[in-house]
Amino acid sequence: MLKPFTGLIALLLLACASVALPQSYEQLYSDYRGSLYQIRLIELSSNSKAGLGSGFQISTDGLIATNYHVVSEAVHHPEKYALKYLSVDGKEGELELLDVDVINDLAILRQKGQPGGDFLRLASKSPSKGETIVSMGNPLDLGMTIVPGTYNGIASGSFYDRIHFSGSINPGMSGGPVINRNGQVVGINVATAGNQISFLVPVNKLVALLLDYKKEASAGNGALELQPIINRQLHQNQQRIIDQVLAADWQLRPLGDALVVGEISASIQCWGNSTDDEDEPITQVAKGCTGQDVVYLSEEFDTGRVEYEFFWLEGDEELRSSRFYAAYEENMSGFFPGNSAGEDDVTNFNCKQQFTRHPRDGSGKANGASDDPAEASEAQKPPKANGNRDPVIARTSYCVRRYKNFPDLYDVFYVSLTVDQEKRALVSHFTLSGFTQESATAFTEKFTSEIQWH
Amino acid sequence: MALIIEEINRAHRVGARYRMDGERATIGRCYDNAVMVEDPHADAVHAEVVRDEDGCYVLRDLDSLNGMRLMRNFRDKSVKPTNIREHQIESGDEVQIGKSRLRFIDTEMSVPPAIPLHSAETVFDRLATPLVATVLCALVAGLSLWLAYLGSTGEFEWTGAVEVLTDAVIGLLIYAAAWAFIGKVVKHESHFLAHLSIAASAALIYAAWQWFVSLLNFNFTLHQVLPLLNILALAILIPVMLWCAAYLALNVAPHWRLVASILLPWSFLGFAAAVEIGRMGEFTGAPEVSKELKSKDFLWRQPEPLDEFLASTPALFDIAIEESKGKKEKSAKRATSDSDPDIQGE
Repeated sequence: MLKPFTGLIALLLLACASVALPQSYEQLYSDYRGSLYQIRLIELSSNSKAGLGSGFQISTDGLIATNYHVVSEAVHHPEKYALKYLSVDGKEGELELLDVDVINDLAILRQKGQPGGDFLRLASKSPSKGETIVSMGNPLDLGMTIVPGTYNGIASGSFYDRIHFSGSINPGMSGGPVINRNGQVVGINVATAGNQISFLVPVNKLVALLLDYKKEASAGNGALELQPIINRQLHQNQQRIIDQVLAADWQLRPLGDALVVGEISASIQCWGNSTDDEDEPITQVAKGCTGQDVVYLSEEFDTGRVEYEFFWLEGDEELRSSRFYAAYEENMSGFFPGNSAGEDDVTNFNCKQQFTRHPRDGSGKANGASDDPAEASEAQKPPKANGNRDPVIARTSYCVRRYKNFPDLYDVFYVSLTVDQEKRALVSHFTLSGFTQESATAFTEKFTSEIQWH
Repeated sequence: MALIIEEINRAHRVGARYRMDGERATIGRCYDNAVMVEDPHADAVHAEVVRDEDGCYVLRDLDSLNGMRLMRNFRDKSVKPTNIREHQIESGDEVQIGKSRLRFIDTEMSVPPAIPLHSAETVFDRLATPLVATVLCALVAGLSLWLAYLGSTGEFEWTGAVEVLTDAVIGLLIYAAAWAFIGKVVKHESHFLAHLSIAASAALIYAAWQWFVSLLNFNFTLHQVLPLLNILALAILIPVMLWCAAYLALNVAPHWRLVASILLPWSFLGFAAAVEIGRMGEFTGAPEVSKELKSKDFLWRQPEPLDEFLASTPALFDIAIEESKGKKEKSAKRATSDSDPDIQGE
């Protein structure tokens, strides 16, 4: 009864420009506060809050959407944690976990008992760049807050679609809705990089998850078994990434005497730096590339990362070889996989380490090891090509660890450190996290065959 | 037959020796006595020894101020310390007069056969010359300087060099001084140069061992057993050092010296080894590969073609996952979580 009336006032106030805008936020708040909830992760043994997030109702029958990372503890340890909601009016109740999408960090829950009266509609088309959208949530348990900001399209440099939102999302707002001026949800709060740079999950991911859930539920198995669902999602995700990476045109870039892999696709961002200190007799040039986001599985376990880096080290003329190698060893002793994982999640790394050799100028493949360097190096010649024809000798390690709960997925770690030159060395390294053996093997083959020496 | 009266010091070394051939001898501080003791707590004529008609010797207190005390008999362990006024002397008795100690020995007592000089003695003699000790210390200093130089790439500052030198040499000097002091106290022999040479040799041997092991690690990927190999080297080196030090500085029976110099370090090293072995099966987030890097001049192995290496990697993916407790727990959890709401509802 009240809504059309207040809406009218809002419209009237909107007309009065500067003063009007904050008023309309108030309006948004009072209009949609009924569908906002605080999601509480309750530790059962102490019966106290172990985590907080935000969520919002998306249907009349009490379905609530939030982030997967808000509820992940309850997914992995249902015996230790329960989920509860708290409405803006202070109404409390229990939640039932229905479905999750770990790749897009989404979860669907259902209110047990009497569902709330209000719910938010999901937008069917994405906002236009620069449009003002409003994020809602409960930052730091301070109470429901709304934060206006602008929509800046999908952020680049990641394998995972995230809306780049200019506005401050703070801890506790995770899982809250971001609505457009019509009050439709366009995204879900998920992460922040500080200074008004925040990221949202596009709402179409939630729509897809909802459809998927309804399909599964109507197939009629009652409560969904989440582990196989997560497993399937991780599989599809790694396949999507590896397809994208292998299909791309790998750009080679010079690094010292070598040609190494640069940016493979727009989802991977590269950085570089070099130490060229006059006092330091060793020059080190580094180049690293990685997909920006990871798939969050639990507080100490993330996956879905592709990362590779290269280092070129070169010593001064008068530097002794042993001193060069001592520094080389020291600089290269700290290699770690790019993702974090605990003892419950993965096995120990299973490693093979060997001295390897491959032809200096071109692919590491034996059949393709063309003795004709001319055609390979015609296009891009590194600046310091020196006509050396001896094979490259490197200390190469290949390590694999298996996911205990997803036995077809592995983390793969590769590092190859050359040892055949007196005062020069090339290090190539990659880690893949959460890939199948086939994907990892295909990537390895492509990766090692691309690097060229001159 | 006669009686030998020995004055012994606290290290059980004989200070003076008297031979009693007659029927009676007196013991005391004044110069008239057959046995003179340099001790303010002894009376001028403190006691007498008299040979009785059976040929036995009797020690008798001559009403002295501080009396006498039988401390022990080094041949008969059943003798307990007691105060005495008159005492029939057994060969081997040790008696305290004032603060001095006298030992009575029958001339007919047999002595143990001569102990052969230990073969190490000649080694120690050779090591204990100033030239050898200086050369060995200089070698240690030079080596640590050389390693410090190789381990850094920047300009090698003289202050850094001095620091390395003092660290290396002062360590050796402290070790040698400590044992020399102990030896001086216990045996009145310091053997400073011998201790110094031994410490320097041990340092050189250990450095050589470490270099050799790093070569092995580079060529054969020994990083997992590397700590154990180092413990093994120490398990040989430290007992040898300790044995030498004990030989030079302590009055310990040969078998005890051997047992102590082996067991003491082994118990500590065994503990370290147990910790190391216990750590092997533990979960680590980082891949365990050897990080040793040297130039190919030190490479003894034939490198294999990269594609052959990569072709062998699929075997790495075959990792057994122990039937995780997690899964069983999880099914149990499910049951409990189903019943939980009911409990809470009530």
